Amino acid sequence: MLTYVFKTGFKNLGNKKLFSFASIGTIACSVLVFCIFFVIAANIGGLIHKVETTVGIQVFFDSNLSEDEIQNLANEYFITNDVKSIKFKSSNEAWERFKVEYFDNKEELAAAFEDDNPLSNSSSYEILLNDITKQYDYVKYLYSIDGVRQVNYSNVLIDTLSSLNLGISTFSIVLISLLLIIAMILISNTITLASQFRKKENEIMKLIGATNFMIRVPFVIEGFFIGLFGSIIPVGLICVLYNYLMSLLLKNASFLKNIFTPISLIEIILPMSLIGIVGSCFVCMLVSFLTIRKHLKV
Amino acid sequence: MIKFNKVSLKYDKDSYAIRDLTLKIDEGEFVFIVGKTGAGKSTLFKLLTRELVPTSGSIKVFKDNIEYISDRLIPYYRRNLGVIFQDFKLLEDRNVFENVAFAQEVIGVNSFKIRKRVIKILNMVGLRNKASKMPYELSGGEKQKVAIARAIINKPRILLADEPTGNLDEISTNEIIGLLDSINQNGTTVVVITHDVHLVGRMNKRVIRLDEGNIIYDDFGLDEQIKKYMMSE
Repeated sequence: MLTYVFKTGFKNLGNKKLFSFASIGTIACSVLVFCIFFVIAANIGGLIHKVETTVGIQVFFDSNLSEDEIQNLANEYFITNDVKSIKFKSSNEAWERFKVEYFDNKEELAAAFEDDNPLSNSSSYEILLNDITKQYDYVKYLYSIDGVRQVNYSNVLIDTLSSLNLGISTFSIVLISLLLIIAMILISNTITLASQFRKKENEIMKLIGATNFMIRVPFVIEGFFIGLFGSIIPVGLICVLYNYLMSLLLKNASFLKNIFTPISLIEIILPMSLIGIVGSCFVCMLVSFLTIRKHLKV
Repeated sequence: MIKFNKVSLKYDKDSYAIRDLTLKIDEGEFVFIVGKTGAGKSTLFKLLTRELVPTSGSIKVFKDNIEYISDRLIPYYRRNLGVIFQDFKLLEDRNVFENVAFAQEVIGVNSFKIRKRVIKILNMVGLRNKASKMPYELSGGEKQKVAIARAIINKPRILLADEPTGNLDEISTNEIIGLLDSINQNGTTVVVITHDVHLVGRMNKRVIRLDEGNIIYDDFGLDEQIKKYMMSE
């Protein structure tokens, strides 16, 4: 029985080569667009994650607070559900780090300060959040705490990445939806044509006792093949070209090298293939089923 | 086997395709249904295949009232019927073997059994050596034999034939009727709808003549009146 439905479904594709080709081509375009945006979104997501885990909020305190008071204040107020980690940096540590970064280990320049610590009021806390998008609210909260003098945080990078990601997602959803609608219309036409093509066969099938399942399923299988062929091609293409394209990107945009490491293909391939292939097959089968149910009263 | 009890089928408010028809066909019978165009022959055929449901009355086939069979169970009922048409209804893109095998494929028989059974049936209808021929390579008589092979491969209890010799010459007609007769001899009930007076006259089988949706003659062979009527058709 399965042999028959698969054989017939596959044969249907070949009976109307032009329509089948158009349907597969449109699905392939939709899935290709999906894969491209998936890759972009995954890499931007990776970048945001990297920023989330490395770029923190720095909190400075009123000069009249001692380090013990600062630590008490932090323990009492800073740790909320949104906080991933907090790390105290004393004024001495801040000064040592400053010396390394700005005097480039030239001790004679630092020696001019002798035992004075010009950053004596610079004890701070570095706070990493679980979700960087909650940064604004948390900063607002920090300012409401007595004793907090200043809060430094980077909003430009996060804002840019977040809005870029949102923009790309919105654009890709709109484009994929449009392509999907075109693909659905084409698949529906292909299946309608197939049902006309096999009208006589279906009539005979009905009269010799074929069940609705046997009559309808070959059309759904045809939809499955359209979805499968239409998705395997672009998914395969992305898999083959991904590493090459990423190295080309880093080569031509060298400023990205320090801030961007592409996500590995292995991490992307599974979710992308799964959504691309399974999603495409599912949509095509569903459209085929609905079309054939409408056109083939059995 | 087949029992029509006061069956009527209305096409619209005032016109009947079948009117108060009562009929009984026993198991193993060979019956000709005759009548002019619009007499109700095709409607009777479609009522038996459950393509149509009567407006009133009941039709019992085997042991069930078929008007009550649910849509889901109709395919299983139809597997007990074999159907043959004047225009053969063969699949032009499949060869003889595949056309016959098709009837078993669509009800889910496995391919090994199908092969064995198709060869046996093709032998029976005398087309074993034409198994790989396409329908366009066959004569009308051969096409109808393929259709018969397809109709009987699932071992139906009733064989329904709608003008099976309508497109055939006399030699082919004789072959087809001989084939139907031998199928009947093996126990299958055969119901043939036809206009062919020579054919009906030759066979000395039960003849049912329909007119305006009801039976006006039911007997063995043809009387002079019906012969005259059929000749004038």
